[in-house]
Amino acid sequence: MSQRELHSAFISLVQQHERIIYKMCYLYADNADDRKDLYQDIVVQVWKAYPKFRGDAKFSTWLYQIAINTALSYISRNKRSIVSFIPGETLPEMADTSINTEHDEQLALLHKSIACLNEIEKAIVVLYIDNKSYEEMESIMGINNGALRTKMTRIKEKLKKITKTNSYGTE
Amino acid sequence: MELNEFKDMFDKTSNSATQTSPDIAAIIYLDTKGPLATLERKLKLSIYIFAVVVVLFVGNFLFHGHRALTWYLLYAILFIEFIFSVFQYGVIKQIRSNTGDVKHNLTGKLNLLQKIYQWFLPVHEGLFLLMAVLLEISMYYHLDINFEGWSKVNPVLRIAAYALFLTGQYLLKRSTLKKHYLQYLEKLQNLVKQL
Repeated sequence: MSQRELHSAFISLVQQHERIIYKMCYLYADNADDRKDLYQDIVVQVWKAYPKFRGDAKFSTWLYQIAINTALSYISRNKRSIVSFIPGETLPEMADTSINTEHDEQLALLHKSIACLNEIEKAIVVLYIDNKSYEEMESIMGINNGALRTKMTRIKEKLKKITKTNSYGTE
Repeated sequence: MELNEFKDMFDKTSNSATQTSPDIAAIIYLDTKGPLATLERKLKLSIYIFAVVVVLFVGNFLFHGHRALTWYLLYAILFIEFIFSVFQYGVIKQIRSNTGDVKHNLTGKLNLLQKIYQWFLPVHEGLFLLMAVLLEISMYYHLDINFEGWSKVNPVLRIAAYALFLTGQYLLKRSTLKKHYLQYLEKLQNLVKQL
C-alpha cells in the first residue's frame, strides 16, 4: 500500500469510528480545550500505530485500546483529577434543542454519575454501554472475563448508589 | 436508574454533540503540545547537540592531538549525559506508546518507570564518583599538568568539593526525575490498583 493510500484509508477509518474518540474525550477531559488536545493526541497515536495494524482484531477494538491508553496517559500528565461535570452546570457543547428538559436532566445525571467512577471503571462502562461483548472488553482492557463481570456488577451497584444520591441532591 | 437505561442516552449524547470534525489529515502531522511530547522534543534536541559536541571533541582530538586528561574527562562527562539523554528519550518513547491492551500497557509503563526510579540516580552518581576517583588516580601519577594546581589542594578540601559536586548532581537529577516522572509514576500506580 502506498503512503497516499495508507493515508486515505486511515482518514476514512478514523472518520467512520470518530464516535469512539469523541466518547473518550467527553469522558476523560473536562473542558473544550482539553477535549481538543485529547482528540488530537488520540488521532496522532492511532496514526503512528496504524502501519502496525494487521487487522487481526476489529478496527474498533484496536482503536478503543489506543484511545483508552492515550486517555489514561493524558490524565496521568494532567495533575488535576478529572471530574467531568459539576452539579447544576449545563453540559458544554452537548446542547441539543430537540432533547427535552427531562432527558437533559437524565443525561446530566448520567454524566455526573459516570464522572464519579474511577478511570478504569469509566472505560469499562463506556465499553459496556457501547454494547461490546465481554470477549471484546477482555481484549481491549486485558482483564479476564470473570474479573470483568465482577467489576461490572460492582460498577452497576456503585452507579445505582451514585445516581440515587445525585438525584436526591438535585431535587 | 439502571445502567442499561443509560445505553441509548449515552449514544445520543455523543451523537448529538455539536462538534465539527477536525481536519484529521492536518492533525496527524502535528505533534501535541503536551508535556511528554515537549520533553521528547527537548531530549531529541539535546541528543543532536551532544552528538555535535562529541564530534567536535573527537575532531579536535584527532587534529590537534590533545592527550591531556582534562579532555578525556570532559569527553566522558558529555558522553555520560549523551547516553542518559538517549536513554531518557527511549523511555519517553515507550511511555508514549499506547498500543496493546490497557492492563499490559499500564503495567509495562509502571514497571519501566519503577526501574528508572530505582536505577537512574545510583548509576548516574556512580559514574560521576568513578570520574572523581579517576581524577585522583591521574593526579597521583601526574598524568595531566592541568591538574597540578588542584592536586596541591588539601585532600580533605578536595573530597569536600567532590562531595559537594556529587550532592549537587544528585539533587539536580532527583528533582529532574521528580519533575518528569513522579506524577506519572504515582498516577500509574493508582491506575494499576484500579485494575
